[in-house]
Amino acid sequence: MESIIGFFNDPYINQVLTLTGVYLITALGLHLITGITGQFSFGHAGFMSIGAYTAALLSLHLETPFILNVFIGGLAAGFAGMLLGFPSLRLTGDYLGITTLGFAEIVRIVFINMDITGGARGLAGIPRDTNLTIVLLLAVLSIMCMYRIHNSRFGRALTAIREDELAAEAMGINILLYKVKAFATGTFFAGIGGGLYAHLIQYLNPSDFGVSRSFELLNFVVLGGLGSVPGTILGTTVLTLAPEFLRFVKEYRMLIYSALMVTMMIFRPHGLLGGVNFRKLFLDLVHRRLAQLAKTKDVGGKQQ
Amino acid sequence: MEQIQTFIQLLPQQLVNGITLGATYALIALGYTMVYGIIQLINFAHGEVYMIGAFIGLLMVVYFKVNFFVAIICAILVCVPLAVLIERVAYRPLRGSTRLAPLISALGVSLFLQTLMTLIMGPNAQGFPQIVKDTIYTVGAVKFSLVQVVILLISSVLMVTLHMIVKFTKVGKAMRATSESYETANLMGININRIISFTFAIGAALAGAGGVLVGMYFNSIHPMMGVIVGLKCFCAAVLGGIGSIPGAMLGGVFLGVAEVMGVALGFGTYRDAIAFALLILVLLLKPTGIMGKPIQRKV
Amino acid sequence: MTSLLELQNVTIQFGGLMAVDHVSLKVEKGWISALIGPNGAGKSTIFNMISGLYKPTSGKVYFNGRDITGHKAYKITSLGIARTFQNIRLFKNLSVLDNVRIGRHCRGSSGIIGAITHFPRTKAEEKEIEEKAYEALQTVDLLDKKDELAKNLPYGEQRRLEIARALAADPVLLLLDEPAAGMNIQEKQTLMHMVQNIREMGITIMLVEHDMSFVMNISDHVDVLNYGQKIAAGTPSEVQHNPDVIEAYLGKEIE
Repeated sequence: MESIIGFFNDPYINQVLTLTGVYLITALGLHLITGITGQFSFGHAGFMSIGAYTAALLSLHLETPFILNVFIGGLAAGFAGMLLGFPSLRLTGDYLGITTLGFAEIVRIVFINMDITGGARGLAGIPRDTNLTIVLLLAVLSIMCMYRIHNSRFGRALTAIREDELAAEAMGINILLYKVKAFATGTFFAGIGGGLYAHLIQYLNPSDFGVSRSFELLNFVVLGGLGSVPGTILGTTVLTLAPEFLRFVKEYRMLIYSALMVTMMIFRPHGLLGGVNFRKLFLDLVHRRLAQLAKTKDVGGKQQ
Repeated sequence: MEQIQTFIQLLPQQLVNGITLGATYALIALGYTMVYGIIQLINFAHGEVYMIGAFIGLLMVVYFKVNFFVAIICAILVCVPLAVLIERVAYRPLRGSTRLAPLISALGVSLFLQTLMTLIMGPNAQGFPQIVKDTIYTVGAVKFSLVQVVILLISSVLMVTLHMIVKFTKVGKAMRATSESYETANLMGININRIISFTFAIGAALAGAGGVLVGMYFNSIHPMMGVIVGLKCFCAAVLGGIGSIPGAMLGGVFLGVAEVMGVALGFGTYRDAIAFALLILVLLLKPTGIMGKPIQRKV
Repeated sequence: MTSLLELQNVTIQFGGLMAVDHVSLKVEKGWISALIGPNGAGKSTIFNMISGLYKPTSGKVYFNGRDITGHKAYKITSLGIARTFQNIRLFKNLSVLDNVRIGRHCRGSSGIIGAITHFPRTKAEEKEIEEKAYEALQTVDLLDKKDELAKNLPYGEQRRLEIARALAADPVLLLLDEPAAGMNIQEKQTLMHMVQNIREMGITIMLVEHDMSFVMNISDHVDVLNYGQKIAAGTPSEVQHNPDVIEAYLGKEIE
């Protein structure tokens, strides 16, 4: 027991796990947008950036409580998502993808040029308020949120939009409104992740949230299996931990990731866990077990 | 008032600078528009083909001391097979797949090439030597550098050649047919795979040449130059009307002029954001672009 | 007495193509009304317009006396018009039950807050949605397959599922777009009884169909289109004997 606590207290392990949790919260937001609602967002990191800088600046200038700052960061990102979403979500997939990418670039360029964000030198000295406990708690909450959304009228409407937008509209779903709601919620999560990130790494630079970061987040969501929460958890964990435990992977990280993504799309586009229905698997297992038990009971009974 | 006067005085010069820059953008935008027109894919890797063209040009000029013309030819000779290979390996297997898969694959190829180049050449900008005499020609209030003349000439020749190919050759006709209707073209006996490869090839040739021209113009290239320019040129293609060849030319030139004007008006550091802002504007107001045709929704 | 559905001089033009040419028609409450005509006559276009997916170039559409011309599709569904599609547009990767539950979307109201918090009101609504979904599946006899993925159903059952999905919206008017397409004789018989059952439930039905015997057996009223224009209307027997209709389908007699 002691060694387990010791394991988690080791600063390096602690940092890596906390970072994984932060990325997971951010990735779950993208999962909602792309996995569940089927909208292509290639600029998710831009919203992470908005949340990060908002939370960091509040901490540095107003000294308001950490959790509140992170929450406001999330709201800022969600609001930005709503503003971008209303005009952009009318567009078809590819155009939406490039628009979100363009938006993230605009955010990056604007932040590089602003004084308050520290410009190209970045923002340093952010207090280290993020810890493993808070992140684990928020991650679990986020996962719960995702499951509840998925099994609700709201979530079903989103999956309908993903499956067949036209039919969904014919079923009485206000397509644009629901897309915007999903998008804003997803970017809210990105903002929360960003705020937590800022108070973990303690330094922010606009180039931390560029195209490669957005692509990375996309990888997290797609590798494990698009549309699947366990898939997002798997993808985020594997892709964040791998470079830590495999030196080789860390050095050539981007090279490996990009080649990996291309290969995955060609050979297993649904991701590692895509199409795997955990609930069904679990229930099947339970049924088989019960059937087995019933058989042995029978046999035992007959023998008596 | 004085500022406006100076601005108007400098306008013709800015226009020339803008059109020159825009010509290079047009060369790249054409690749995006043709590929999108034929297989509805945003070829994110196109920017990297342009970047690699610039580096090949650099290599030829520095190590083999060739002139710009040979450098451009060499860039084309490398970029064309590269683009065809990319299509074959990363896009063709995904042709029947979901809408998202080819986009992710394209992003993957783009990032792969960027990272590879950065690892090989280092992350810093590389100087591109002056290979064209820095003569200046003055026509009234406007000064043309020899480099600008070369760029304008070569890009015009390339674009006219493209136009000829598309309009007057059998291949061009096949390209247009496939863009219009994939299935019908296939049924008519057109070898779709070959036409698609050819489309990628032409786009790459233009982009490769563009890379060398840009290197000559700014005397500096770096491994990430394809990222921003690539995105901007896609914006230009959308601005002009995606799928439309004259649209891409128009969009590219328009973007070049807008950028130069923007810098002249004091928005220098936001220069790159101009393209994206224009993109978002176009997509909101007229998604089919300047020369695009409205799409009917089929139920 | 106002008709349930009324089209007044509706024209739908796509660029140079006149898909629907000044068509007026009425559907009365309680009817099973059919819209027939040769291929390309404009039947599906009219359906798409009634359900809100297309806007008419000119003319008006009235539902229950209310002008619904140009309304968005999702609004029209909540007003009480539900439909099936010619080319089956099910949510393939979702279960049968989910498909039908989505059909009932317009009769619910809980959003993302309700989803996350599980307020009692939301839970009650979920229960109601599920019950109504079961009812709809029962009507089309698909309740035992509720957990199957929609894409795994055989063709005939997919068509029935589409009907269940439309029924879940508690429609006043049900639009069936070629419901019998691709069915064999037994399946068509089953479908016919199903449609009549649905009418007994108080739902007015309008259908587009190519199978003449199906249409004539089941309909109270038939409208005939040809080249975008209405060329005849009346009871099945009236329409069957109309020379214009015969000419449209079989061509003119050689003099």
